[in-house]
Amino acid sequence: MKKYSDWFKVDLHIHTDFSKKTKTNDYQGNFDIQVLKQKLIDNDVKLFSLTDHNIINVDAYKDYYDNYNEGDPKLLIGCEFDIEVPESGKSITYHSVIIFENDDFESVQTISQKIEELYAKKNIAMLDRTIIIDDLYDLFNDLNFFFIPHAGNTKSILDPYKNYDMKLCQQMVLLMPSAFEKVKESARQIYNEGFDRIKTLDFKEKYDIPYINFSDNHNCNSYPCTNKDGDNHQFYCIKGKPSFESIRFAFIDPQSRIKKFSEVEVLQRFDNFLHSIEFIDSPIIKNTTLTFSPNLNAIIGGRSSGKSLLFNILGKKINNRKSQIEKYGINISNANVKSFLDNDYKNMISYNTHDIIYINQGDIVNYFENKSLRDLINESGEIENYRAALEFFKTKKQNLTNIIDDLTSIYGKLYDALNSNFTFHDKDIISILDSSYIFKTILNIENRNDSFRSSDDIINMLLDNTAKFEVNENWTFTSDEQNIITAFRELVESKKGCFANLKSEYSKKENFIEEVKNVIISKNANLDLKGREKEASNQRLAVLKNNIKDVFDIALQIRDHCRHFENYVYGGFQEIAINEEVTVVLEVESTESLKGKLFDGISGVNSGMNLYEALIKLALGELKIKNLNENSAENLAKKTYTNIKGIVESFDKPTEYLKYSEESTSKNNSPGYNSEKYLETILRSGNSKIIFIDQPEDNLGNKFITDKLINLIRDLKFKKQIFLVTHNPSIVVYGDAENVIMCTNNENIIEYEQFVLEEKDHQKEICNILDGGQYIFEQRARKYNIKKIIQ
Amino acid sequence: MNNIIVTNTIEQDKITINFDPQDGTLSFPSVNLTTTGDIDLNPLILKLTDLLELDNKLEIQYNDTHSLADTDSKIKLVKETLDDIYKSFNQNILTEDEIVKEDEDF
Repeated sequence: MKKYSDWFKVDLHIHTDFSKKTKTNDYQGNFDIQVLKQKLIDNDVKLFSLTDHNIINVDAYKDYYDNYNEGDPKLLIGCEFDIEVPESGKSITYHSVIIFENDDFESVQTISQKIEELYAKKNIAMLDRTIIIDDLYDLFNDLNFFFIPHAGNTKSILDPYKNYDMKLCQQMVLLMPSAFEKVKESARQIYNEGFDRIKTLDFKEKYDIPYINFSDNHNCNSYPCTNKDGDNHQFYCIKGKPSFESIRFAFIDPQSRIKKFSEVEVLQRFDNFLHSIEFIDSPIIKNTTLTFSPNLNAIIGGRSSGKSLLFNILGKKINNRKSQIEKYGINISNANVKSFLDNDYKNMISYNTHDIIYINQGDIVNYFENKSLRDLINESGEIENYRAALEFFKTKKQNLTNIIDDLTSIYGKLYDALNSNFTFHDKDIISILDSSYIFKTILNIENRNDSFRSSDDIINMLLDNTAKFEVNENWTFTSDEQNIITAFRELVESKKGCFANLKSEYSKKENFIEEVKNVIISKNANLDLKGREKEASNQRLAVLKNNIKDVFDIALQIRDHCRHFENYVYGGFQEIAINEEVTVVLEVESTESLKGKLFDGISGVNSGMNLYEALIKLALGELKIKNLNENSAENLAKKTYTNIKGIVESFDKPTEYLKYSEESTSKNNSPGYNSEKYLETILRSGNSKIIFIDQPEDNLGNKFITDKLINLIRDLKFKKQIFLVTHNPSIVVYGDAENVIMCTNNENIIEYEQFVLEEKDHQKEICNILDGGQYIFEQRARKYNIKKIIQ
Repeated sequence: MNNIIVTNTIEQDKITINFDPQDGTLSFPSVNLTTTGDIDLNPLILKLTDLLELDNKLEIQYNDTHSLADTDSKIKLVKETLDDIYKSFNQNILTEDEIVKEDEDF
């Protein structure tokens, strides 16, 4: 059995054959209340009224009430009046259905008697019956009733007031619990615009004016045809239990509580929403079965009443990793759940991760404090982009370590070159200058190995690709084209032959040079003592020259690398668009100087010194690496990595923040504002089906709750199932929760009960629990210009 | 195929080396090898690596008017060195007959 506000069909405008008494040819055929009853049951109508023109069919009401059984469609007393506006100067009347709160035969008699006495007193003939609005008020001022005038079609309330006092007409509708009937869907906006022009600012709520259509059936045998012989009526539905109070709530909040049956049919495709949970023999939870609305389920209660416990039990039962049920230390194996698609209860239902948004109390602020928006990314279906962004930072990290490794490696070469032991004696100089002779070293020919390798690659690639080009399945060749390919292949083959000869020649030259070198070595070895000493000294001189050349080469390399290092921007960012307004940014900022970090490890260095100069001095020993004995490359790398550890690690966990616009990000906004934007974003984005939020109001401003969150929830709840733990009455009442689960804790036994807003007794209970509940109910009444919701 | 005639003219302080390809073309510029101080054979070697491309063997001649190669130990050593170099050059040039012979060996 559903214990939440669900939709029911309503038809408060059905005629009986009594209408023939007051209107000529008004009803077709004979009316039979039992025939109508069966038709209503067949069409699943739960609440109806018999509304004849200016008269009440007392017998029909009696028959229905006498034979009423539990579960039958509920009958409210009603009548359709011809209302005159004498001050308008027009003789035309408009029709309005009046529906009374009463539903007992005694009241039928009383109301009927009042009507008959009025017309008798005024001596109005049966077929001429009309009434003015003041008489209507006087007649029924002790009763609660709805005023539902025609506003389109024929007999519209607008007709007598046009060119007279439309404002009065609007007040009629605005100041009474009322709705417009017989307005075409396409004309609604026109009515709203017309109303808005004369409404005060306080009342400019476009969707506040209720529109509803009933069958206006005039032939019970052809029910639900409209009027006398029209098409089948398109039913309207109202949310709640079939009662006068539900209609009142529907007229107060039509956007949330009145829908065409066709819209309700769509809403009732429940997918695999959570249907219910049963608690059996739990040590701390009273046995109960909670059924859930596919729309908004608000979980309320005082402190330690079990709100968050229920929230976390549900989280666990849908296998959500963020459920914190363990902290309660209770056994929930006897709590079973089922979805709308299940026939039986089960211990757990597994949903896909992206189907669920699950936000624990305080989660949102934590996301910003921890600079991690992964849950938002996850629940917005952007995890692949997120992974790609993390890969980007892995590459950035690798790039940074590469540049440091390269720098220290080149520094190592410089350090080794400058600190290698080389001996060049005075006697070497004497020997070199000695008059004895040597055969000078033979120079190498130009090294062409790289060039040959590259040419080999080109030739092979051309031949290989030409073969593939020739047999590719996606094109064919004419004979001329085939000839070009053959000629091209021959050209390449010819060049390959020439190239082979060139390599052979080169090899021959290399071979010859090597042989000559050996000849020279052998001749030098046979020189006299002075000559051999001169040769040895020349060899040492050659090594010295090479060493000096190496130092310059390395110095050039290190200078270039130092410039690159000093100007290197190690940070970066990646953006993941969540929606048109919000982007998640992953960022590693280049806030720290790499050079500064490297200098932090060197003692005696001047911060104004450039890196190149510092490394030369370090290699020469004019500066020292802090706390290490040698200025070796290994020590420099070790010290540098220690100093930039924080930077390197930042790539593993880039800062994550929300970007709202070019200038505005979560970094420069308050935690409250960020929480609001986060919640708005996560609710608007993604393809989740079920949303769980535990006490969102803790970090949200009241303005956001009233201006945005409530409207967001009102919109979302017809697309997704929402479970919301809250102690904020605005969210429950303005959000128009379909299901209010109240939690109470009586001496450590927790009880969960279900309430609905449209039941008067329930309203009081809700007000007692929610701080300011009464005020919010009254505010809501004021907003919708209804005298009072709680009477 | 014509040999290249290499004429080495030995003087007191230098050896002038002339190349005649015997094919009617102009001779290559000669190379002067200074024999005072250290001996730098690099200009000669550079010339010979170019000649390798012609695939012609060298035919060596010496003009030693004053018999310096017999009387001066340094000139003698230089001459021996040149001979070794020319020999090495010719070993890198295979005549057509030699190519055929090499093939037959396999």
